[in-house]
Amino acid sequence: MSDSDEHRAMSNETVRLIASVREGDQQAQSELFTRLYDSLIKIARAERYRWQGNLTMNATAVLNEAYLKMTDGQAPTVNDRSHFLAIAGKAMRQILQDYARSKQARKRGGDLPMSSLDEVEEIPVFDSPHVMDITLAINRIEKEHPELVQVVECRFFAAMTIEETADALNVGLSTVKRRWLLAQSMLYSILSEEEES
Amino acid sequence: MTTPNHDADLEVLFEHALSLREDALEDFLNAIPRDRGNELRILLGANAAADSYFKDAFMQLHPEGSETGIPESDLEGERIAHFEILHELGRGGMSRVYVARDTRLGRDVALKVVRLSEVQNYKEFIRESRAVASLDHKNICGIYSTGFTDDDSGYIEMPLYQGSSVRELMNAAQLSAATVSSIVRQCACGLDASHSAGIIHRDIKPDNLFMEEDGTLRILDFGVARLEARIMTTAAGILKGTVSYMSPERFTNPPGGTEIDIWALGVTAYELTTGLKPFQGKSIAEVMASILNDELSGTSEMPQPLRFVIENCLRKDPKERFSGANEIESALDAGTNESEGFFSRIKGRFKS
Repeated sequence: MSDSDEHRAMSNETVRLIASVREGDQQAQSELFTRLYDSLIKIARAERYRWQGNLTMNATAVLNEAYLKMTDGQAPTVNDRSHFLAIAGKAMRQILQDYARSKQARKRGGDLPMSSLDEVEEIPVFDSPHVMDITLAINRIEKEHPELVQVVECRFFAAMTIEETADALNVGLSTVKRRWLLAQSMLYSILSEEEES
Repeated sequence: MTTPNHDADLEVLFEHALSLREDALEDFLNAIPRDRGNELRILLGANAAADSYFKDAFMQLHPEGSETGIPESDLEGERIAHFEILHELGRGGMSRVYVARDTRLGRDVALKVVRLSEVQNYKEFIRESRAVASLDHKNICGIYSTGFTDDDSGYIEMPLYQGSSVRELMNAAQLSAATVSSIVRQCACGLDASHSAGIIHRDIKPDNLFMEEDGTLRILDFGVARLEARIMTTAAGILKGTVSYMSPERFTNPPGGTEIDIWALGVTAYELTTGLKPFQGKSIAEVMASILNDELSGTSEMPQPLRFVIENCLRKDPKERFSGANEIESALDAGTNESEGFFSRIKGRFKS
């Protein structure tokens, strides 16, 4: 297969996956998640060389590029884009979380094998304390409040609008607004608790 | 005790609590089960600070081009208040500008839609809009009206000028010294008025200067530039945006006074004259280092009075710069009317 054939096959597959995700297919969701996880890291690494002096990685740019690359513009509906981004937000969160954990482990002197995550280390946003604190605090509310976490993945990690989030999660606008408000306060209260202790 | 409605309950109670005034809130919190009441107290206490905390973090993760809060995709064909959106004109870090039809008055206007996700931003938005609305000057883009959309955005209605941005003019052709002088002079004139009113622009650059077809220069984005600059400054103190027009004291002693606009106008004038920025580098750090340390060079070939103006806008020490934009106007006027002698006469006032 030529490069462009391969590319075309990949984007066909992505479009198929998005369609299955839209219909609630769990396996398609986890497959798309895995692909996105790898793709986002690859793009973030490439971005590093193209910053031109920007001090932080632009996660939106990374997400948009992943979308264009993986779908080749074949998934034109707004609805498809929302579903794709919702999973991308999940993958972005996982990447940041894995990075934060491996960093903490290394700090404690753990002997971890080098992973693809080590290569993103030079990207300053991965050391932005607020982003990291939020990423870690989310784990503490996930079990009890999975709906809130979904909204944070969309709104915070994937920079999705309220409309897009509502679309991807199949809930109303006011529900998204309410959950987003509550999630922020809840995460912040956890963080300020930690600060005090 | 977790009930099936646990989250839904909490969400709804929290939203309701946020809408209550102090005494009603206290009654409400006392009326619900104590555990829930205490939980809500903690969440309510976190709410205000959570807003700005998340905003900072968000800006670090998505420094520009992110759409949160602004209606995604195009507003084209949609309505905001009594405006019908016709097409997009341009976009910035947290805003988009559209050509819109004012359906009440039947005229086309420029409508800037600004993302405002925070209550405090609303207040600032209103304050900044009022400040700018108080400026009435032929070289400053005015404001017709402002308002809010349904989804956490603010809009600013402005006149729709016919012409091009100075950046576009510069890219299209090498500008003559007379054109550069006219741009700098008019910009200084507008700045003089705004500085007298206590308003600093903070983002003077060729992209924010607009030349109408009749040659009138308009400074764009007063207020919004300020608002954006403030919001884009993250907790870590990293200022988003192009640093090339920032004066040394913005790094060493921010936020800086009216002198920062004088400097930025100097950088703009230099760029319009030579096509290059006076202080360059391959990264933000290098540009900053150059602005802080490098001697100004490349002015010796420039025609007077531009050279004189540029050199005195770009003094590292703000106290050594022109003390007001009106001095730029005087220097340019005098330079057009008199010979070089003028510069040697008044040069003594400035360190050369």
